[in-house]
Amino acid sequence: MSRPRLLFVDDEPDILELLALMFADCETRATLNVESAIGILGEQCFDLIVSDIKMPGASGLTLLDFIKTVWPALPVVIITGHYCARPAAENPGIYRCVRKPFTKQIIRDEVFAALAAATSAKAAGTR
Amino acid sequence: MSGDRIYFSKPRVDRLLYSIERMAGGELQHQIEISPKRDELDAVAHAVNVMARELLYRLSELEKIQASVVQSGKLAALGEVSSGLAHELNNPLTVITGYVEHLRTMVQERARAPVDFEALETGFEKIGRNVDRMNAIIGHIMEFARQSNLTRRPLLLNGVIEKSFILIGEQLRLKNIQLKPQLSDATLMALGDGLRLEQVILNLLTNARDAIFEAHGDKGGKIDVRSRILSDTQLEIEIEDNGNGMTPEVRERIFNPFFTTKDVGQGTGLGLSISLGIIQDHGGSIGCETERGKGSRFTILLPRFLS
Repeated sequence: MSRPRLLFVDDEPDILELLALMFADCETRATLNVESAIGILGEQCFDLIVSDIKMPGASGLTLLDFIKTVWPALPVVIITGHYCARPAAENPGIYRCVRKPFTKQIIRDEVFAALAAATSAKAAGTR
Repeated sequence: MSGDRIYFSKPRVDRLLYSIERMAGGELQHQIEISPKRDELDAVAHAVNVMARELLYRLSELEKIQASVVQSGKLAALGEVSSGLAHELNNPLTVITGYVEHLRTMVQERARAPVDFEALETGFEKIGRNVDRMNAIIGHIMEFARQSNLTRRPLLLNGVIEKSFILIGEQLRLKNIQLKPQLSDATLMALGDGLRLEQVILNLLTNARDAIFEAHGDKGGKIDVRSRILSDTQLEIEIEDNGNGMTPEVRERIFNPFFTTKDVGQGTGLGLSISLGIIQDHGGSIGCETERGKGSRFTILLPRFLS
């Protein structure tokens, strides 16, 4: 598989830079809010989105709902400073939740597991 | 005994009346002199002395209770902002955790690749900055929750207002509530307890936040905060929200202790009554104008301190 294309959405610039470092082996892009993320998703293809929940403006959950509607096969990993309830998913495995603070190991495990789940769902022909 | 007349000298009676007046004026620790005669007037004096001592004891007990109510009001106020604080602390912690890991790996693998000292420096800067951020937040919480007696120091009112923004600013941002400060450029100096005044402003901002959320949900709203010199002797702070406002029935009762419009477990109802008490202790007042459907404006007046 060519380098996975990841989009990071978080209102903290330090966290966006950190994520880029943790995924230096991928193609990554970052943005500070949901509105601009939606715009970017319209212009460019991504293999997975990593998003915070609580941001000024629309929340990460709004973004998740939007992605589920428009790109139902696109995996999303939510990162949050609050309690992590597994987001309900029609395709289990492509939606995951990671608590802040996270280590590089943990978030990479979740991202690659979600990517793998999305790939096998596509291969199996399920939507 | 009835029908007997007892005469006392006018000076003695005057002295007794004078002493009682002093006690009534607040000097409860004063004790009336008992004469060696130990007559009926002395009996009255003695009874008044006993009453004054009893009143003094009860007053000090009441002051202790009031202090602990104010303290528990502080803790309740703190509970309200703590959910926003978890988020506030977890973000810098994420940056610190991540960069410590990253830099440690870079150093451990120096045999494979030379250490990038510029990256090292950047990493430490980010770690240090976020450590400072966490320290500031934690320090502020501890300061706020600490038991303290009412101190009277000259203070800059705008500084107090800005400090209260720290504890609630993030929460307002997340609820899409615009905080619009219009603080006077002039020096607003008051005499009082900065932490207590901060508690009052935080209380009003919290109420404004809840009113806006109740009215508009995630759409949010705005809170105007204004400060100015009202006159030679008074300073004014206004906190205005565009929530739903209050009905006249609610408006009448908002300063009553334990009156609350929130559900069980949501709010203690102590906030405004304690806030009013604190402002009154400072020689000031809190007013409230409200219009159902439009919003509310709370006005705090405080005596100006002119050094």
